[in-house]
Amino acid sequence: MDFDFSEEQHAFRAKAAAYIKQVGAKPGIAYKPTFNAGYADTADRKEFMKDLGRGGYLGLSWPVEVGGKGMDGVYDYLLTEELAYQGMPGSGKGIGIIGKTLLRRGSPEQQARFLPKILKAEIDWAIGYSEPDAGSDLGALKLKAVRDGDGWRLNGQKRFSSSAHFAEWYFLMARTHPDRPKHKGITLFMVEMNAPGIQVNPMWTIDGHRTNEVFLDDVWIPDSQVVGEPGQAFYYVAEALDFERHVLFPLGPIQKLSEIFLDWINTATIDGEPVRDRPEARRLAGKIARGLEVCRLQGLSVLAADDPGVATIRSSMNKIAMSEYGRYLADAALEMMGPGAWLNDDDPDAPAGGLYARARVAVVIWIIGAGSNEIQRNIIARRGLGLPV
Amino acid sequence: MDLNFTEEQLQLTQTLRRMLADKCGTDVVRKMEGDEKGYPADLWRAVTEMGLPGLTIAEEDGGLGLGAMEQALVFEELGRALAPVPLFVSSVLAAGLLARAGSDAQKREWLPAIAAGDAVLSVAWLEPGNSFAARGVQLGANLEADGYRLNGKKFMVQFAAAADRLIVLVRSGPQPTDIDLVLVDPKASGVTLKRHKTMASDAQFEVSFDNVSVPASARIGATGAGWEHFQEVLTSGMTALAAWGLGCGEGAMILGTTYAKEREQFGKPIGSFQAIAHPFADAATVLAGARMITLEAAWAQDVGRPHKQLAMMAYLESSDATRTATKVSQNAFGGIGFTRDIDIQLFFRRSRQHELAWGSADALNEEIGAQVLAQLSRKSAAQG
Repeated sequence: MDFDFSEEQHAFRAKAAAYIKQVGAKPGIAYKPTFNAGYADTADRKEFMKDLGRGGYLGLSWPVEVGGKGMDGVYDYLLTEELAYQGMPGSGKGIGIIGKTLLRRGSPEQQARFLPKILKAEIDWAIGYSEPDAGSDLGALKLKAVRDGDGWRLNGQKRFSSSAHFAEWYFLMARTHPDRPKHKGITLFMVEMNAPGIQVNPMWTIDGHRTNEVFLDDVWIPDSQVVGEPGQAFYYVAEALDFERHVLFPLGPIQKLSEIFLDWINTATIDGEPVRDRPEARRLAGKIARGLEVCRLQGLSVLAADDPGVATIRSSMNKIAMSEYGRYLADAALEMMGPGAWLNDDDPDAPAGGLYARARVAVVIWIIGAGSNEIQRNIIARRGLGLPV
Repeated sequence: MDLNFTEEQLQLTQTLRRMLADKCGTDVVRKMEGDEKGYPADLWRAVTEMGLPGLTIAEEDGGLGLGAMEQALVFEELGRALAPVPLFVSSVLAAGLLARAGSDAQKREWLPAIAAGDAVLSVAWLEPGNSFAARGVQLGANLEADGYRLNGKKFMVQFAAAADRLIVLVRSGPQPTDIDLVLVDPKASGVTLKRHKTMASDAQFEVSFDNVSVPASARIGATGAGWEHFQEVLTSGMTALAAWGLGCGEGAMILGTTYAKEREQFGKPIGSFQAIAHPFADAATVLAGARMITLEAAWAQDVGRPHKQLAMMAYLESSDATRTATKVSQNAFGGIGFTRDIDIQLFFRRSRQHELAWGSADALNEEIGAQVLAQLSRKSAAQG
């Protein structure tokens, strides 16, 4: 057993850290570590993504034949952690679940068309899975695709399509075979966001990020933009997740939030007395350090799981552990800070930059998003413990 | 990074699990509740045949010379079976103190005997009315020309009736850590034992000392150095305590989830209700995290990295996780669970006692926090 990374892996992360710091130095690229800094949604941040590609940091685990580096998944993990730790955009859906799906399931034409652009960060993607009546029960999605000539005609509504207001392409699941069992009648499409019939409306999250609801009205998609076999989308999406579990929930943001709070305990005064002189503050510092280490190890368990069945369970555990710890951290920090703790991060007088007031609100998105913690508990209970839930 | 066990480690776990299934069913656990000695002879023989009392004792002292990782795996299995054996006090604490601070003569006399399972030692640390802190050690020990004279009381001394020697923490001066460690025969004149009635119904004793003479040669290590030795050995040993707790939580989860699959109410297995299934999922999650930090602490110790902070964290995390796991499992049994007949109560009672027995969570959290903040200060000073 060895809990440490190799020297080569440490060196990779150090080099990546320096590069990210250098190309991300312009204002507006790094966001505050309040959980949801991962999406690129400004011109500067999109340019940063291209810099990542120029530095050779995109497609680390892609095969060499398609322009990747053929490296082990651990390097994706290390890069993702460093980006998240510095508050940068993540390496993205294109390199991740979409690219990996195209690599396995895309036609040669689709691979030639999309993969080189993904490697240069020339495409921003939005993902269209959730719908008003298909949240946790994603298999119930209704957006309709009907055969029309050499393609399909799409009608319906998506929700929580982050990036849809600036993305060029939309990676979307639609129901093509309403007569089949619900998980077997869904097909994956790639849709140009500027296609006629698409309307994108903002939905603002409680922590001030934009996500979108998207309406599709008679949008026609050629067969060349169907991914893999019609009817197989649910299987493809699950398969792609298996490749990406170790980079889904990076530790970086809560690591940063923990470090900043520990630093606050160490240096702040209340009533003229150092906070660190209080036994309860030292106890809390001990709990924060322990909670953070356990979260880090939950992440490593996902990375280390060779069996996809085990990785699925560990990933659900990791998601619960990190989001619940995030909530605990934010709550505990707010209570320790006393009067003024509830000042937001856009108020210059906020203690510790107001990060914890913001985080306490933002963490709801972590707890619910990407498969609510209740859904994760179902997965652990069913697949890990064999309960008939 | 490699989170796989070696073949030998997996073998050790499997062999021990098989042996415990054979020799340590819950009938044995129940039989030992209230037993004066506290552990059964044939289980001890089987444990000894596997070499477990000498697992981490050096080969030259008659042990197997294995590491903290093997020790953690062994204690996890012992916890799963709730095995009543004196391995923690004898092979981890007492042998650890002797190996660290004992004289050559003391090592020769006791380490091979402990390793062979021929001798069992225990530790007399805590005192009635006092805390886990150094100042809680008040037992008087006048050092006279011919040695110590002990007067006072210890309590919560595990397996004292079966022990060949007790390592007694005694006060040797006015400073909080003026503490010596002395080897005392519990059958010596002036020593009396009184059995406690504990939550776990295990073999713990009050030990009274009435003018007990102990030669100076019975001291382990230098005078005044006892507390430091004890803290070092106990803190490292917290990895084993954490592992035992995990095992206890895992054992409870097996009983609880099995019952939740079989027991039907409202026409279906209760495990199909999220009110039952989700708490199990949360318990499995915290147990998995606690297991990782326990294994990390063991790994760090074995490769010679700083490990004591991790060991304390592991004990705390394991305690939290095991409290959750035994609570959830006990709860799933509903009404039948609060009868004595059902085994889940054996786990439920032991888990809580185990987490209380070796330190105060508040004090350990505070110590970790103080260390973390001091490390942070040094780091910012270094960065200017």
